Amino acid sequence: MTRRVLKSEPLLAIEGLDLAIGETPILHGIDLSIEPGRIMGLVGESGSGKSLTALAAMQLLPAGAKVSGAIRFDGRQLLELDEPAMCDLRGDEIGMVFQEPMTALNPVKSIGEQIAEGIRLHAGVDRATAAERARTTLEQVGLEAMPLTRYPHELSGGQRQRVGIAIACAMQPKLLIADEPTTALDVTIQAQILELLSALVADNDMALLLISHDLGVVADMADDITVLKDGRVMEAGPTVPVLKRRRHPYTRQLAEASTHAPAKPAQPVTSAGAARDGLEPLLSVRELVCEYPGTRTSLFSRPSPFRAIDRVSFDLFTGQTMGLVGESGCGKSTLARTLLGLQRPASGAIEFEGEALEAADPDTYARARRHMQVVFQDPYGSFNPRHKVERLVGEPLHLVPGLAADQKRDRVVTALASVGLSAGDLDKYPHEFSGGQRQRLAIARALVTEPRLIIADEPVSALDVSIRAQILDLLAELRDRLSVAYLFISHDLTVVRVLCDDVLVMKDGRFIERGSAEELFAAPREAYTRELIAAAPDLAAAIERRSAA
Amino acid sequence: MAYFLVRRLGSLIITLGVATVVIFAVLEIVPGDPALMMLGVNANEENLAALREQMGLHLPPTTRYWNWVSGLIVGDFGTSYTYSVPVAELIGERLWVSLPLAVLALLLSTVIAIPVGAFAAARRGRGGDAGVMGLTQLGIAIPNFWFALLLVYVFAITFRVVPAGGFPGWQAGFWTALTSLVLPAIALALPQAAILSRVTRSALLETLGEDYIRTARAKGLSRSAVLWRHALTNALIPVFTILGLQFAFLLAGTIIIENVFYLPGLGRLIFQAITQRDLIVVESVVVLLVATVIVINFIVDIAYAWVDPRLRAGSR
Repeated sequence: MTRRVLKSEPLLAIEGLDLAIGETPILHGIDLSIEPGRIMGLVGESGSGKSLTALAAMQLLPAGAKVSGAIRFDGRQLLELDEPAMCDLRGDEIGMVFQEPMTALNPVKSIGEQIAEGIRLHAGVDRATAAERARTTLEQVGLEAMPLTRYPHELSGGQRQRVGIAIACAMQPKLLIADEPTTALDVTIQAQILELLSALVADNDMALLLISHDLGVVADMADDITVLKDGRVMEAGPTVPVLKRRRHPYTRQLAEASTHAPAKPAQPVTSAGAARDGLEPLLSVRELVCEYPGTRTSLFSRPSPFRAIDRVSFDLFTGQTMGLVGESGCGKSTLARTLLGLQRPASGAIEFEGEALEAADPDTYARARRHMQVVFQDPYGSFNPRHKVERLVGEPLHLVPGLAADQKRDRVVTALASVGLSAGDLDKYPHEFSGGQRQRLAIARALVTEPRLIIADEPVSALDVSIRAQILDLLAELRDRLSVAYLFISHDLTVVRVLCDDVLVMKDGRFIERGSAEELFAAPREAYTRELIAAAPDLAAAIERRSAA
Repeated sequence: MAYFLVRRLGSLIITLGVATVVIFAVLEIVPGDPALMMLGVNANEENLAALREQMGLHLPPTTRYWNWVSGLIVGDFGTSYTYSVPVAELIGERLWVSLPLAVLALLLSTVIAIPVGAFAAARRGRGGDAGVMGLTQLGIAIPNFWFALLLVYVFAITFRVVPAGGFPGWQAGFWTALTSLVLPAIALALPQAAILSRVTRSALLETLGEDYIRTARAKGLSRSAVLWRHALTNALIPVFTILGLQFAFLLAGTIIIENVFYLPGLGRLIFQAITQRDLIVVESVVVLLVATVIVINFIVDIAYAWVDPRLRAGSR
């Protein structure tokens, strides 16, 4: 890769940018400059103003936003340009890629149309020429065989993000802004998209403003880094020295949080160890098969079902933390739903605390569910916004018969206390809490029935790194204190590595590899596991590699 | 796509079948003896019995239902009790007034509503939006027969640009006939346009908040280009739904409006037929109206698939 090392005139220079939406100030004196051909990483936690900084450069701010300061791009003052001039600039000289590939493309237009639209607008060419150039652009983003007539819903998430990049890069812009371009993607797809972005930057001498919450990604990609917190620049400079020296306390805090490992238990419960000691499993799954009805292909024949879980077996012991990793669509969530009784297995056996659950009646399941609770990914979406904390957290208590009102209240208060909240929060609504506190509430809700197994489906994936570190500590502490077992489902291998005793690797509905976390990460046997581990962004490894180069 | 069409057609036929049963059953329950209506209250019992037999009224209801439906299938709607002419002929004549009226009103309301809705959506929260939304509120609130009378007063009586009522027939010339349909069509279209423009506005506002709108803006498209090229196509689904539902209301509306404007359409026919207990005419016209509504909704379903490629994929 050849990148300019000589200091040249910046392509984009943001100076003293202030931004307020309504009466609320968001950005305070942001300074940021990018030189042609270089990658600037803009990092910060949610609400730090990363995206708004980018949208200010695009002049695509939400209604009611007031900006002051200066944004200079290639010799022009963007804040002084009128709307038609900005329209000429957008998509031609500055391209932008967004986070959500699932919703960022228009569902009713073919991908060819959507790429060609910008080309026709800026180059003023006819339909046929634009389509031809759209074809070339698609080839550049690695979709050689993809017909232009495809619609977004016919593409996978990674393919859609490639189309998003093709739209942004169709006119070979001088500056590409990528706002969390890989956050919604699986790690292996993330690695591919990042590779594509760096290749595009190198080949076209483009500058890239890469916005990310993931220090590992930025450490890997960016030449320079700007760290943002609460709308202020904390630290800026060349990536490797900034992340290596961690001079600024906030940079240090971010870096430490993103590699944070909760204390390991004194006696980790591994499947191998438990088998050796002849322990009775808490949960035992044998030859489990789950199927979904297939899509009908003919008027006369029934469709063959889609097998989401294909004969999986495993044991989970008291106090054990079992990680379940795999890419989206591999069957992780289906397995969780089936264990929770939200969906019936096609065949196989589930035994929990010695009771068979695969064909259990609702009463038996209710009894089992008392000791088997769940924490979901989205800490906001899983609460009814009209209920107060007391009701939300106390909801599973209907599974515990014969509790009086004050006993229920006591249980809720105890559960809140164990996640670091207090009785004073009982009368609050979910919107009064921050994202991290909401996830604590979700954990309290799971704890209130004093469960022995908690199924946690991506419980920290939607959280910022510093909050993620706190929640991981909390989960570890609860495990040690209450000896609950976790089935910890995640696509994030770094988290699984630091928290789990054992790991199951799932692909296409089967476990392709299993073992203790230590051994599996140190010496993965399967190519797929190796690929997953290699693709996961790793801050320490990235810094090491970059400083060696 | 073929599977999609076959499934929709199947449900269309079933709905029609159910509709005929309901219509027949309801008219069975309605009081009033058609034979008595035809011969007058002073008719003697023998004549009445003879007439009932001639009309087939003595047969059990299931047989009469079967005769009626099998007639419908081959296009034989029976003979009107009061006019003593084939119902098919009667309906055919009237259809040439009502159908153009309904279609004209539908076109008018769509042509008014979509630009008005887009105008309001583009100026969300500003004066233009508030003004337009106030007007649509008024349009929904005003009863169409009253608005029709107002139109007649202004355009037919004061300015004398169009006739106040009546229909000269299409043989009098296309434009002459059309001008006599203009006022009724406007009166019918007004409340529909008001509802439809509100639906268009809210559907557009929803789509304008979508991520792909931002993608399109980042491509360099202007606000209005994004509205027309990206937001509107996505907003059409709810608009089509309302359009399909409105057609039924348009048909119902013609009954009142045709009476206000003295138009010889289906609406007036069914109104007269009900008052005269001409059940065979009532049944046939109602079946025809039901069929029209069902077919329109079938077309709406196909329009969904035309607009949204995801629905087309439903057949795979």
